[in-house]
Amino acid sequence: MHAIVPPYLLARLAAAPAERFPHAVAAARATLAVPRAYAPMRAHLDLSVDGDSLVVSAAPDPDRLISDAENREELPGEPARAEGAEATGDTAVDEAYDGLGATFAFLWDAFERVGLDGRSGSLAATVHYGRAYDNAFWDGERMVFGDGDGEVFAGFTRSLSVIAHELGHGVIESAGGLDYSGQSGALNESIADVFGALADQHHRGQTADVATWLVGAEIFTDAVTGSALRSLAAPGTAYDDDVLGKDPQPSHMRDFVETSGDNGGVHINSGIPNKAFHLVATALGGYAWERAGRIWYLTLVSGALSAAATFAQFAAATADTAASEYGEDSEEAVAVRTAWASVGVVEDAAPR
Amino acid sequence: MPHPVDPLTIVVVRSGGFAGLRRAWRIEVAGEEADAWLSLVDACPWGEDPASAPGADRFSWEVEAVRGEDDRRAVVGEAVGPWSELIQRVQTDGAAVRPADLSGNADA
Repeated sequence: MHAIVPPYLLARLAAAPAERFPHAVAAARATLAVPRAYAPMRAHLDLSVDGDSLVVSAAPDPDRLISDAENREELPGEPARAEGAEATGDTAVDEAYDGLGATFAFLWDAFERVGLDGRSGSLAATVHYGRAYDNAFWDGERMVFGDGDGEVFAGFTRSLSVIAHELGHGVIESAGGLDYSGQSGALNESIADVFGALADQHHRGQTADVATWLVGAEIFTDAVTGSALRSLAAPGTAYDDDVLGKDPQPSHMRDFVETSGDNGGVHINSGIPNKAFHLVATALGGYAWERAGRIWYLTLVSGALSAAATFAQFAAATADTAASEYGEDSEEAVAVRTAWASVGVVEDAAPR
Repeated sequence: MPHPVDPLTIVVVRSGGFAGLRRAWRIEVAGEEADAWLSLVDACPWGEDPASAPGADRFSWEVEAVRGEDDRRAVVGEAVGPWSELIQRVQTDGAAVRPADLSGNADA
């Protein structure tokens, strides 16, 4: 049972016969009496009986809307598939719909988070943006997918790690945001990659030791020499192609790239915190979202991070989260401190 | 002052985007053709700070137009209006080049 009881479940409990569940009903009513912003949303309740106990489990459902830009660069485009509607037969529309659903389920299952802002099921995406448009991006409100050029990129909606990466930007923004340039921008990119990789692993049921740790493994055409866009396990090795060049990501601070392009290399230097996350996840083992992911997620939503956070500040914040959640000398806290030292963000891994 | 016979060279470098890939396009024109391209170049707000768009994973552009001693450069956050027109024309009419070759470092 999840620790956080969603308001719609509280409402059902509060209305239940008090003589049958006196404590639960009273607690639910008391909790509901506390003022809160309440937004109605989709959810499903599962009721079952275990011996003498009534087992209630509840999970929110997404409220998806996929729109079709019809190859124009205009948003949001025409509605193509709303929540609950049958598959359309348009591959991009249906892949986006499924990917949004898988990401929503991941956020709830891993972090008890409802959607991007923590309380709403609304998820919007636009596909077929532009002509042969070579990008997928987050516009502040929705995910936007081009079709790819067919020569380098075969399409973006086929990759759950890409979809979850874009939605990750929405979660980051909702949590207070990280300025999109320099180190804070690279942290923004890295955390979005972590969401991407974890949603993919969650969907496949993979533990840290067997996961590929690749982001965008499905989007290159056969003409490209490369396995993916980025590798959290081995930044700088995702591709090495005669047209695209070599994956420029560093995995250690000594190789930090100074550049005027890419908002100061936000997609390049993200390799450093990406590697740190991979080190924590593989040191702890098991499902990466359960401990490493949880530490990263709680740090993001803690309110302790400045929007201009540096790698070192983020490292300190994740170490604080690990220590407060699991104990100063816990395996988790040690793994976090060791990882940031290994990538050169902090000087050594000595216990503080 | 640029001499009328000087060729006009325009280079567009695209970075960022979800993939973070660096791609470049280049065109060199001379004579009357260069004059026609100059009107596209002159329409762009070269001296202004780049407009930044909300969100993440958008493309980022570096544009350079050189004719003789006249060398104009800009970093463009979101390619809209005249920037979009110029960039699309260079991509369409120019040739894709390896970004590494632009800096003269072919091995990079």
